[in-house]
Amino acid sequence: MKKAEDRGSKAVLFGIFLVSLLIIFGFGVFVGIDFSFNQEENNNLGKINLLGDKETKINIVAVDDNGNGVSGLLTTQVREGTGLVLVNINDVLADYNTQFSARTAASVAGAYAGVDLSNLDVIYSIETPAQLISGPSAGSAMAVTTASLLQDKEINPNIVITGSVLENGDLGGAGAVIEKAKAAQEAGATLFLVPNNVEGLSYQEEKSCEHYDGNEYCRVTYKASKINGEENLDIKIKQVGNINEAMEIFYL
Amino acid sequence: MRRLNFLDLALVVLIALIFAGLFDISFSNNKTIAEEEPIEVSLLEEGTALGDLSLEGYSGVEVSVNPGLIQLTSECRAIILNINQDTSYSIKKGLDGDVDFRPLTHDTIKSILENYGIEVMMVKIYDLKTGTYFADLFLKKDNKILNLDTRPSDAISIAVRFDKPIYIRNDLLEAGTEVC
Repeated sequence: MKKAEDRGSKAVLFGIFLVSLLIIFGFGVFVGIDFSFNQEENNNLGKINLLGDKETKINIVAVDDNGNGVSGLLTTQVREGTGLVLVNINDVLADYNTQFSARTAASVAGAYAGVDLSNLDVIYSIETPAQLISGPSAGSAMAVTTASLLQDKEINPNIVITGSVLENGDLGGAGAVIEKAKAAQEAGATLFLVPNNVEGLSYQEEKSCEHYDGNEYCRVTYKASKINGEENLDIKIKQVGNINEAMEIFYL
Repeated sequence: MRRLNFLDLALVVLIALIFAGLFDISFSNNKTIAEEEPIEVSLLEEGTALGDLSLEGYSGVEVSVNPGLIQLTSECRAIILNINQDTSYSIKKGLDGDVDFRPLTHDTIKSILENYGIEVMMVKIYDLKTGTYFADLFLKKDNKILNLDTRPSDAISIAVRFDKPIYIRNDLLEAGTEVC
């Protein structure tokens, strides 16, 4: 009788043990699937072999310390390498935001072109009268030039673009559009691309108030005047939402 | 019946822990973002057109900062905002309660608000358009409330100096990353 009870007890414990093993196994499979999915995502991009170094140049625009628009030249090089993204600081220093935008731009360009950058180096060199460049708004120009090199296609040299680029390929903000447009025009460009969320060339403060039983509630917002490209400029201004839209316009 | 020996007990405890662990994983993944205590708005009656002040659909966030980045965290979700380094430094100073050898811009704003008796109520981050977050900064003086359209980094920099709450719309937070 006692032996039978012992056997029963052991059988129950053995059963519980098996169930727990199954649960652990199931959990492991779940984690494994999740991990392998993430790995797969990174393997969607194909590697390319360059036949020598590639290089392209594009005009870029910025504003100087006095708020005036200035133009510069961005040279983008892609060469066989180990996945480095480099900002050349031989002639000009670049702040954190510019470096960050270079990294994002290379990543976005790789995703756009469907190219794995792990065996390539991307080098951005900026020539400008300034000693220090700051801000992320050269990111879109960096992404456009890199994508064109990866796809081995030429871009229209008469177009200038400004605006940061986000990881998902959208173009972010850009400031001082009118000053930059003037600089782009002086550099010989005929079309100036700006991000969609640049709603206007200037912004006006607007205040609205409501009153309730002697109490007051006010809201202050900033409304943009729409871009129409006719503010004494001979350059056309066009808004683009993301890198795909920009590339369609840039490709000859 | 046979008494359970130490190994049997250990096995049972192990199984219990596994179940407890699995339950915890499941629970934490489905955790809802806790509703924050609504701030007191005694100035205005309910039912007025002041939906702007409502916190429905919003969650309070904790602020942490690194050079050029702010992380806003609520429960296990977080969003990261890229900001300029000057503002991230200002937010850090505000969080630490420090003032530099010379006051930063947000320290000056704090002094102006304090000396004119203007209360900072809260910050609400309410929108995201092509990578740019939008925030409202709510100020109050006597029977007047002013809602200022503000960059989130500036609003946060001011709010942390007054230890005032920062809220973000839940769907913006949900679009962020899991941090637990």
